[in-house]
Amino acid sequence: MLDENVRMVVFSSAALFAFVTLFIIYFVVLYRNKQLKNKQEQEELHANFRQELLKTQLEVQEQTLNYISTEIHDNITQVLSFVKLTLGNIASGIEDEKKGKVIETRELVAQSITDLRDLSKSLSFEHIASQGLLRTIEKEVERINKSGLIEVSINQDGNSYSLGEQRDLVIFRIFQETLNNTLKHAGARHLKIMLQYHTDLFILTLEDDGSGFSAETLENKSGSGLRNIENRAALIGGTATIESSPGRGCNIKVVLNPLKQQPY
Amino acid sequence: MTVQEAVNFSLLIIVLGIGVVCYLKLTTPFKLLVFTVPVTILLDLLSKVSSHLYKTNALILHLECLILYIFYSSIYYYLFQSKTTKKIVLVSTIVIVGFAFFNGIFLQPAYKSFPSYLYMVTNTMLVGFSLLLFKQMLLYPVKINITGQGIFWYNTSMLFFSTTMFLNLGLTNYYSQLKFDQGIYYFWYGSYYILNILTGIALFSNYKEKNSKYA
Repeated sequence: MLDENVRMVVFSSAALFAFVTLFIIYFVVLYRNKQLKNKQEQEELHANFRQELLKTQLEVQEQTLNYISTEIHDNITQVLSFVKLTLGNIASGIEDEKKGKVIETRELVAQSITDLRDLSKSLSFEHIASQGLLRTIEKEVERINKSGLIEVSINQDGNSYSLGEQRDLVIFRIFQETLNNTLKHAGARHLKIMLQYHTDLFILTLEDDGSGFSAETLENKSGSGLRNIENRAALIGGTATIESSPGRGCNIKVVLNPLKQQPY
Repeated sequence: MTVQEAVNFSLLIIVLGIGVVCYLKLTTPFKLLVFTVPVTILLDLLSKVSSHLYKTNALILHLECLILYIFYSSIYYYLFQSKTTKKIVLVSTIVIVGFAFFNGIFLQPAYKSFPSYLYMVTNTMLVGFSLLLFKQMLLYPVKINITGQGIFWYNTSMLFFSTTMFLNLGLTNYYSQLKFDQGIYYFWYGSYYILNILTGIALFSNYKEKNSKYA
């Protein structure tokens, strides 16, 4: 009888102990799930914040560029046009010896007006949107080739189509950034541009034969230029891969699915 | 001194050692927890002296129950974030102190009776507090792994100790009827071993927490 009672008591104690232990284990599992869920939510918030911040930065950049474009077009070119006109008037009333110099100066001013107009168009969002991506890049290539700084070739594979105004603009800015880097840092003689238009894939490839840079530079992404390229590509749902090594130039490839919906 | 008493005493000394070494880096509630250990040692010694001199340690047990409850509820006061819950802890402590005096004078005289009513009430309150704290931990999880959090180990120790003591008190009369005093003995000491071990882990975890990158 005593043994039976003791057994019952021991069983009750063990049952209580087991119950409390199971409760603790259940709590630990619940807690861990909550921690994971919180971590995921935080990461999502951070990602959204980063994207919003980037979007805002790019919008501010575009507004600034548009403003500069407008100022160049409305003010600077107007003033230069007036200077050109005035020089034309002066040329008609002076002797031959000095006339040549004045005409030469007038032509330089005319050239500046043309270059400034081209620059203004390349900065302006509306102009890019109306011309389309391919045509805008072609015009830019013409301008650079005319300058003689570098030889740029452009090739197209497939029938061109619009990626959407915003995406076209971002791709064009990536092209401008790459061109800027090539001219400023690479010391390249040739730049090849390839635009591949497939049904479910758009690929922009920019390859130069410049001095290239090491993987470490790429890791540190010195200057905001390379970082900007990757961020802009990510913003429109694409990916940018940058490959380079010292002495072997640089290859930048932007891949984008035109069918994929992206808020920006 | 029996083997069980020696083991318990050793555990208390080890926990006290951990508490003293880690004291400066502990948060306020855990600093209070360190103080419960020397208080327990002192009261245990007084209990032995009282048993030897007066053949009863009932008064010491009354005091021990009340003093340890005040300590543990103070620790919970610091751990709870909600102002309402803190007020509940504060009010309950005042009520329990009042009840302890009432119980010691009228219901279970402190000079001769074991304070079973007081133990039951205080343990019930501590179980309630531990469940509330578990709920708070779920609502506001932190980045640190749960097994590395001192608050988890302290709360677990309270839950274990309070529930087992509650059962132990419930079974005390039954054991006495069966003349199975050994049952009370082993159960009582088993509960204290778990409490002391988990207290030591809680103190060490709180010390490590403060040094972690999430502190």
